[in-house]
Amino acid sequence: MNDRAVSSTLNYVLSLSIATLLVTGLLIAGGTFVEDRQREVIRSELSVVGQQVASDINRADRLLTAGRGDTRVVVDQSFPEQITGSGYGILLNPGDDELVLRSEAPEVRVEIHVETNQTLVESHADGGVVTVRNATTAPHDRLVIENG
Amino acid sequence: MADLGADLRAERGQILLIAAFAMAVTFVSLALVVNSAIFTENLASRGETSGSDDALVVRHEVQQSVGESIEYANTYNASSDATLTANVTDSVATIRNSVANQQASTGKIVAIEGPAGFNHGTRIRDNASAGGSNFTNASTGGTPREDWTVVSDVDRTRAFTMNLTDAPASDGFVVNLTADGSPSTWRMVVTRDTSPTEYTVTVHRQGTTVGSCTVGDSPEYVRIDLTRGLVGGQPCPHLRYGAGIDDEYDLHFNNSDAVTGNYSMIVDRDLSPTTPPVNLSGSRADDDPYVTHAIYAADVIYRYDGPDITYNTTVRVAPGEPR
Repeated sequence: MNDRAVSSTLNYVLSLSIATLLVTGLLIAGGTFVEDRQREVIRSELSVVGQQVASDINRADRLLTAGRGDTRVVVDQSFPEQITGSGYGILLNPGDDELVLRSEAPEVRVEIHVETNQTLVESHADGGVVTVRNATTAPHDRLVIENG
Repeated sequence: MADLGADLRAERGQILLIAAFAMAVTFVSLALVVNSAIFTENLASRGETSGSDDALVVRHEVQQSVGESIEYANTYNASSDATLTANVTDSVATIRNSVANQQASTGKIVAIEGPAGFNHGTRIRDNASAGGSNFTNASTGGTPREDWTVVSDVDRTRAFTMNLTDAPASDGFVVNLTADGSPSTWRMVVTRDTSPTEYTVTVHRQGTTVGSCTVGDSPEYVRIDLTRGLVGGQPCPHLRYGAGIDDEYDLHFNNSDAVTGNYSMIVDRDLSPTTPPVNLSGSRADDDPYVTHAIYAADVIYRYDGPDITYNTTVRVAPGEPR
């Protein structure tokens, strides 16, 4: 009489485990999908922000090239503090003539090429208002980025 | 035996419930991600927001306006350097007020200061009445000569224009620049063919022909703007005044008795009309070239303050100067 009602218990356990398996699979797939999307969106947003900063650098470069004597150029543009829930930093790297943008979590790195007539100075800015300006100390034909 | 009856019905389906909740969270975060993607597109399609193009446009307007006031002062009252300076300073004050008011209406602050510095020069002109005269030197230089030095040791020349008729068919009228350094020569030769009348301007550099431009359709005269590179009002790509010459140069006219007309130029050397160079007159005498005071260039300080841009610089104004 000990094996009575085993089939309904087994049926119950089997149903539960199959349901758990399916649900877990669904959650993992969904989570990975969202994470992949987030990474892609951060990558495209970083490159768009980088291109906007690069074009600000080019604007400042153009104004400096057109100027004579003691010229002062300041160009501001506001960007989001965070992108897709992650903070980020912008590094102007004069060695390779590029802007390096890096988000924190997940970590994504994007490089944007910048070409200018003026000298670039290694400098860093975070999200928010990004200011491109020429150096306040001589020689003035050097461009830096900073938070405005 | 396990009781699978009605008492536990309320506690069934927890896995589905948790799964639904987790999926809901996933969808909400997906919505946030998609929202960020939309914002990215918006950011990407942002055009010029800071107004740097406007800063340059207004700067150009200021340059044009101050240039006009310099030309006006040079043309109408060139009795002394002090008069010219005072007149241009007054005009710049007027321009400052009108530009500031106009730009303030669109939310920008534009300030012009100065002129901070003047580069005094000299206008050399031959504007004999009744169709002009030939381009020979002034009678103060002795017997009129067809080959003569107009001015020596100049760095820059601007607004150099001439209207002329009667150029010879060959061995034409020559504007000749010679410098100490290398490259040292630049020449412009004007010749005229008859039937039909056609003027040809040929440019030589270091003895090599650069190219030529022709004005046809039997014109009565031809207007040549040397520093702007225009022949008969049309751009002549070969005519780049003094191209390649970096040092101080002397300006000579050759075969100048073969042409008739008038000319005017402003050089950056401050020659006094009271003691003019030997080939030029100190005041207007009917068919002699003469010198007057002129402002060659002026520097004004330009400040532009927009919502997202600050631009301060010095603007050099020298209307009609070759690039």
